[in-house]
Amino acid sequence: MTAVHLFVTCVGEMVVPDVPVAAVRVLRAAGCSVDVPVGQTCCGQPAWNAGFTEQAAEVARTSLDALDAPLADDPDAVVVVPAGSCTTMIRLYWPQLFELVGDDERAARAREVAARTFELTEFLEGRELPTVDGAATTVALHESCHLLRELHVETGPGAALARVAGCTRVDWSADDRCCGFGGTFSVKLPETSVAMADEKLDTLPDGVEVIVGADSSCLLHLRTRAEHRGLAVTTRHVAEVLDDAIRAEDGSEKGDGRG
Amino acid sequence: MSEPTTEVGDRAGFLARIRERQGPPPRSGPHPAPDPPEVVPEVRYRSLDDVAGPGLVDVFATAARAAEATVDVVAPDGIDEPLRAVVETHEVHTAVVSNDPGLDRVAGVLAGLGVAVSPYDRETAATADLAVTGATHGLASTGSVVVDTEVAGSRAVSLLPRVHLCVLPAERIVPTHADVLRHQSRPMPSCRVVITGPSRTGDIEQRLTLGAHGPVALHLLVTT
Amino acid sequence: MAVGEWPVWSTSLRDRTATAVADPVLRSNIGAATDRFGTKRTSALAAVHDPDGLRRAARGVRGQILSNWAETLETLADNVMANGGHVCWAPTGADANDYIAAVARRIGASTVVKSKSMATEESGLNEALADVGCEPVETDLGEWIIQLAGEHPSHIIAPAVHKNRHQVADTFEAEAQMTDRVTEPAALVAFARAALRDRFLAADLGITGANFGVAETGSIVLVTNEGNARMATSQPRIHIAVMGAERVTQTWEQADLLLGLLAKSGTGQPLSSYTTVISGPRAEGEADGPDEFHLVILDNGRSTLAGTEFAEMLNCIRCGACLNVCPVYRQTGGHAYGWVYSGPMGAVLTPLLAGSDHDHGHDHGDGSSNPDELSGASTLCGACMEACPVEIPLQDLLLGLRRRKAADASRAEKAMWSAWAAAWSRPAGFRATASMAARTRRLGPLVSRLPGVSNWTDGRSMPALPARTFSQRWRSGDV
Repeated sequence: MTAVHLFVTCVGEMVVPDVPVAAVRVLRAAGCSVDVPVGQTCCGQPAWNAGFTEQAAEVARTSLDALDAPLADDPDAVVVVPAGSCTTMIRLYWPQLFELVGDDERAARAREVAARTFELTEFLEGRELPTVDGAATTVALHESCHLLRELHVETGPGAALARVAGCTRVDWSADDRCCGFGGTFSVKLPETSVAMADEKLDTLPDGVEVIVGADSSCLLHLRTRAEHRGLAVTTRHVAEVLDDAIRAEDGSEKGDGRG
Repeated sequence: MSEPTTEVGDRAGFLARIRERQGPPPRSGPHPAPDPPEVVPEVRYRSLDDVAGPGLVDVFATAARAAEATVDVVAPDGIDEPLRAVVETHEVHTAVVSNDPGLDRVAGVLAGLGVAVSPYDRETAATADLAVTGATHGLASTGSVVVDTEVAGSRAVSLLPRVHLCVLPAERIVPTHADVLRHQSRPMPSCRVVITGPSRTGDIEQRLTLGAHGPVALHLLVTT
Repeated sequence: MAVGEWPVWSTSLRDRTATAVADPVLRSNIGAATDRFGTKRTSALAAVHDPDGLRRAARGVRGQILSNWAETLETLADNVMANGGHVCWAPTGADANDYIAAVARRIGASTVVKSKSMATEESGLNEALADVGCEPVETDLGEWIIQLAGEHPSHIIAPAVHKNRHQVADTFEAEAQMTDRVTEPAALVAFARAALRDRFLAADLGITGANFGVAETGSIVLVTNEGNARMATSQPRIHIAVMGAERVTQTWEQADLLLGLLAKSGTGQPLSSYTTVISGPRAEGEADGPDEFHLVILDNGRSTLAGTEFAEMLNCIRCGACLNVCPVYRQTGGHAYGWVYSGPMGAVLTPLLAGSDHDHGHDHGDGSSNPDELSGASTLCGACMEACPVEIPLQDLLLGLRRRKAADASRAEKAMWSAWAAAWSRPAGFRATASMAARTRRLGPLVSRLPGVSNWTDGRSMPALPARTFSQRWRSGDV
């Protein structure tokens, strides 16, 4: 049984806890044991993307230390993250981040953690997971930028969705275009950010009820813009879609909170 | 030309600013630069998969048509009909002919069709209906022709007239631009142009419009 | 536009982008154009084997050239002169302008035809020529349209991409004596062809850019579709090519690879209509061509990039692919970037070239000048690097520029991030933020610490927050 250490992410912790909860259940259904390493906080991406390296390193240091201890104990253990963007931060940018602040020891450890860190759908692609019956829903997939173009996970979210019978995925011409969130971009250039979200929403094919994706921050951006405009479409993380279907099959109870 | 060449500005200072800083790009970071390739790779066109020899003519013609050129492939004694079609289609009354060797017969046929044929000069070419040139090479993968000024005798003969007719012996067709650009003769001609289709612009609403400044049509006459 | 008058010096990125985004015609024009370029690029690259391998090789090749940049330039200059050309070393745009103006004065030039050259946009050459009594005429159709309209390029390979046919017709009526209004693109092109052909035939001086300078033979490569570079290099008595100093290759092997990628990446053609290789002035016995060929090698800040973390920006071959795939450019078009270059490459290059010129900078009181803001004109989505034919890691360079800008950030901004780091570097502080947010069940107080909460809520609703954080649920054993 593979030991998975979940990196929850700050958005998962505070804004959409149903997503990491669903990720835990899906990983268990895929035959993994799941732990949540104590002491983790955020990957540091907000400050990193704003150019504040020292501050990003201060936060990333805490999460690196939390993650690499359990990995050191078990050579087969991995870190799984239910967000392509945070996975990218850990895998691609942590080594550079610690190098820039002159912390060579952590840069070396970051490289080891990076090699054993996977985005959720990327990890699931290599696992046995049965096809499950979900509610009949028409969805479109938002291919999030970092997952697609930095991690080159091209089929992970789609393959995960394909395991949910009843879930119909329709093609979306703008599926791989950025949603316009971009962290602080969304408040520094809000007009452009909103226009980008609008183009995504306006190109959505008729009949789509739910936008599914693997990054909660993109989905939040699209959902809050859609709400602001009074559009009926909502969003759901692919982990939640899988978890819904798995629990529907199990006949188990629904969790609390919101998706 | 006979004028002595000049150099203006502080070459040493200009280059020193660069030399003191230049170096290989960063090899670390999330997207590190690769080592330079040992051999600079050529662009390999799928249209050339399993094609060699005479098959290049078909690939050439297909690519040239995709670039909005028109193409006839004929035996050397079969040029009359295609030339008549060019003259009629484009309402050709006047033509200028480049210095390329081997165009005498084409010029003769055109004259026989009532076209006023003359050698290149700028004023004549600027209002001529047709330019006739040869080409040193054809490039199969892109449907291009290569015209050298030292052979054609001028830079603009293939540019100023309304229509460009290029006569290309089939044996001059090579697979790609690499076969010409990587094997430049020395010294270089003062001007060499690789022509791929007629002049065009997409500057207004990306609408493809032929004949922006150069020929509105390019007709390629490939002789086998 | 004269140096110093560009909007990047006097207006904010936020204002420029907001204005652009509010223009539905602009967004529609840009969206249609970039879609079309993007589709054509995809199919052009699909026609060759291993395009990603070629892009990677091209990146390696550009790195190799710029590791030997000074030697390559030296060889190029020597061979240009051996071919009978003249060479000018121009450390700044003003030096280039002075040289060209001196040539124009020497021959008493009145009409100067220009083939599209972004380097001379940097230097403000048109104004410099006008100052010595010459009339510079842009001859790339898009460039002519915006010259007539008194605007500046909104796309490096399609300068008038922001205008539709009706707007072009308006410009021709107002500025080019078009008396019988036409709006069909073909008719507009025919009008321009006739008007500009007269200028070509009358011109004394032709000025072009240079896509590449190939050192081993002292040659300049010019790539156009319209044929205007061929006109400018065959009709006037003198041809001056203005080349950004980085646009060099050592060998024809290198140039061949880059040419094989340039048009496919930019307009999505296998090759552009005309790839012109100029190796000197008119030769003995040739019926046309200029008596003199001059190569102006322009630095204008480029050398300051060598050896820095931004060195790979020198690899850029100005194809425009990054503009066409950029989701930000798609909404704003090029003018919002405020200077010569736009899109991701412009967001990187402008702070590096224009930003180094603090004489024009309008200091924000925090040490950053306006051009530095452009590093924020990106969501770091990575579409640009994926499209770049020389694989420039534009997102990494943008991050580098943000680091540079952050180093000069205001005390308040630094304090905000430091407070954030102090809290979130401790699990207790992180939990405190989380539970505070969860208690309020609204994001408001959290976000209100950031400047401008309305920047979010004007266009988006506030997400409702959960009753319990993930950690609370995990620790309680509910998961």
